[in-house]
Amino acid sequence: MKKTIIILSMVILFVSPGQARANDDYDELITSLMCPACLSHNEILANGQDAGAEQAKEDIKRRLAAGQTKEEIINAYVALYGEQILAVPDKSGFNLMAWLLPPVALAGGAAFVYLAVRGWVKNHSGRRNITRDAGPAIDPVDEDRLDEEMKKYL
Amino acid sequence: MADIGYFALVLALVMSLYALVCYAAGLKTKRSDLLASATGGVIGTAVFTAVAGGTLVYMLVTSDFSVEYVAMYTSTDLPTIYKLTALWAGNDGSLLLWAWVLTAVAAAVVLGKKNRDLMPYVGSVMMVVSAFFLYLLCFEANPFTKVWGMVQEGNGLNPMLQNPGMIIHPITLYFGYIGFTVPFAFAIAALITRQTDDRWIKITRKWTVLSWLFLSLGNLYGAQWAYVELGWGGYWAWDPVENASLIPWLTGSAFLHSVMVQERKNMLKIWNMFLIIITFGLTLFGTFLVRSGIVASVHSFGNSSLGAMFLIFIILVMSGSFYLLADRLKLLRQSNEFEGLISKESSFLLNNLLLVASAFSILWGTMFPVISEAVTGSKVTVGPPFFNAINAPIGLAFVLLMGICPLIAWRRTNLKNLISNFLVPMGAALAVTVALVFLGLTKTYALVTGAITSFVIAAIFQEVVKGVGVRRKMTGESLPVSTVRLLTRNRRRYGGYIIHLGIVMMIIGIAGSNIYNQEFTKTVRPGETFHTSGYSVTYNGLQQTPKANTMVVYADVEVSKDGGKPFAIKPEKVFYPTSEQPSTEPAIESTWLEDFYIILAGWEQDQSVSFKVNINPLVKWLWAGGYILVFGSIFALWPGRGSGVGAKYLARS
Repeated sequence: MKKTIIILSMVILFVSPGQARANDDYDELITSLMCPACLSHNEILANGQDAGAEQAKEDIKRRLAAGQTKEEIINAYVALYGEQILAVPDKSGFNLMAWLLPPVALAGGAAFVYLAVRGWVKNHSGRRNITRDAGPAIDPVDEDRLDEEMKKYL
Repeated sequence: MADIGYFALVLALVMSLYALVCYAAGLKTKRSDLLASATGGVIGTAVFTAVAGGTLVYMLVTSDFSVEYVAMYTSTDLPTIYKLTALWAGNDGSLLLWAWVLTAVAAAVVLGKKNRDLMPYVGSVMMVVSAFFLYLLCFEANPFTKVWGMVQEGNGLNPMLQNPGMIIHPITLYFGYIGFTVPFAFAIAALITRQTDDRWIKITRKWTVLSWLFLSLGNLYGAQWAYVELGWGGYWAWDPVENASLIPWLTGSAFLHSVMVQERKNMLKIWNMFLIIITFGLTLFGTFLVRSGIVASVHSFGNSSLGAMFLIFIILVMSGSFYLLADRLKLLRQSNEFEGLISKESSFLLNNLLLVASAFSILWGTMFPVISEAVTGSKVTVGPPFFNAINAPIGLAFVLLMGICPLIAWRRTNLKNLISNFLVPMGAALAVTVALVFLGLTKTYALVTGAITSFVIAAIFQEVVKGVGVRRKMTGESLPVSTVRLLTRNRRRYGGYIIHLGIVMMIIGIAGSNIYNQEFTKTVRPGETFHTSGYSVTYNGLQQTPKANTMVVYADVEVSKDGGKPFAIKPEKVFYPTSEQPSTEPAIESTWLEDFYIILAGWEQDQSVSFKVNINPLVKWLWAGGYILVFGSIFALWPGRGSGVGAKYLARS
């Protein structure tokens, strides 16, 4: 249990979002920027289907061909449309909260569950010490009888 | 006609208030005639709401444009089935559908012969919720608002909604949302009457599973609709409104599992109350998100005053419920005992932790733009990469747990049992991982998913095989007989395992289509062939054909994979009379290995066209897993022997 919790929290904390996809710069750009023409629709550029999305995709291709780096393009888009154009909040300032709170909550919850279960196990062993009366093992005749009885319910 | 509908709505509202007053008076004076009259009020509410609903349906089908709603969402040339589905295409109509189903469910519940002592409270809770919806319909979102002057033709239905997926998706989702009102109402009734046992859980179990099933279906059909209709090659975009229906599904799933601990061990009473209250609150919150338009979304109905109403109602209901829970906290506390750290009950707790953490992270991410704007003043977006990054590891840990849980016993497990139970699944996981590496898969997520899903599948089958073995030894039945009897006499447990299998298949589909999807765009002339990912694609020309009320332009395309038998597919652009923009209909060739998904993006004068092609591996597993999930739920719900709870492990003193 303890181990599972530790492993789980490690998985959550250290798996970086980048690992899920490793495509080239263009693919990364169209999945890390929102579609500028439809910000109110909350669609990432890669999913955008309309003319506005196509324009932005063409623009990114042009910029890449002109030798701009990924960071330069992202900065240019942020300058143009504001932070809203980023598909995810950056990991600084208040926006760090977006990233931190879920793993912190999970870790906190895990600690809570662990402490609770440990307490409950203590409750049990404490009580068992007082009323220790492990009954005798079932003898073979009774066991056969039990088998017969159980068959009725199967 | 419109007047009949509106009048019925007002009467329904009056009836629901009458029922509430009678319940309150009846409980106070302990007069059974008043309580009986309240039951009559509930039925009256249901009848009048049904009259209103039926009226709107009739007006939609007969294209009675004297009413704004009908003129807004339908037109005379619309196929009848879509005239019918226009009932939930807009705000007012969908609220009416909600009230219709809710009041019908309320009537069905209060007419039940059993549990009469709880009914006044259950009926009251359901009538409070019904009265709220009926109030909205009467004063905020009246679907029977009349048009000034004559209208010859309506606006027609949004082309995107003219798809079979849109017939089923909203209605299953609503059934799921509404269904959770029943366990919530019984939970509140149990709290009010100070009944601290698991009676309310037992009574509402079927409602809970059924609501959960509908919510699952709602999400699945929504995903499928997005896949075949939106044309971006995917099925889930972490849109706020999609999230809004996923979050209660997650907490509802947590509830389904944690009640087992209460049934078996009489523990987690407070937690179960908390979960059902939260789940019900989240179903309302989902509706609030759709109606208020406070977060940017493709789905918004956008009506700010309605949003405010919902917010107030949610706050009132939640604070009332939590106040009640806090007041009864002492009654619900019990001496808790676990026999060991590692036990089935511990794994249930971990399952709840993961489900609730996932629900929380999605809620947090969905609401973060609003929170951030309030705090810092600048708008930010929380998009799919955020949700994937956080939920992929939680999801995988959750699936792993699904495999581990059946392998450990209730109460406690010793190391020897653990090792012997883990041997086969571990072996399967190892074998599959090695096989995947040999097949050339290198991405970490793919290998981890492969290992975990094979572990779970092996664990489930091992559990069944062992069960059959034990049964045969005890009864001497033949293999098929004992298999069938084992499964059908423990419907609840094995139904659960079947659902798990379905979920695992869905995870395989989700992982495959997210990790190894590819996308290409290509411009070709008629007669030209291009090759991509083992497919050779020949474009034979552009055709045009009328279909129902639309004009369809499609590309005649012939595709073959690795030189195999060629198949013809037709990606389309559909022109609707009521819409300027044509809608894009992808053509999909689906196999168990991958989907070939092609879109006709545009064309030139000389008939040269541009295609967008997506290769989406394993998507079929996602849909197939959904059907297994449905089968498992029905298997578990099927009445008769074996659908009840297993042994109780109460603390003996």
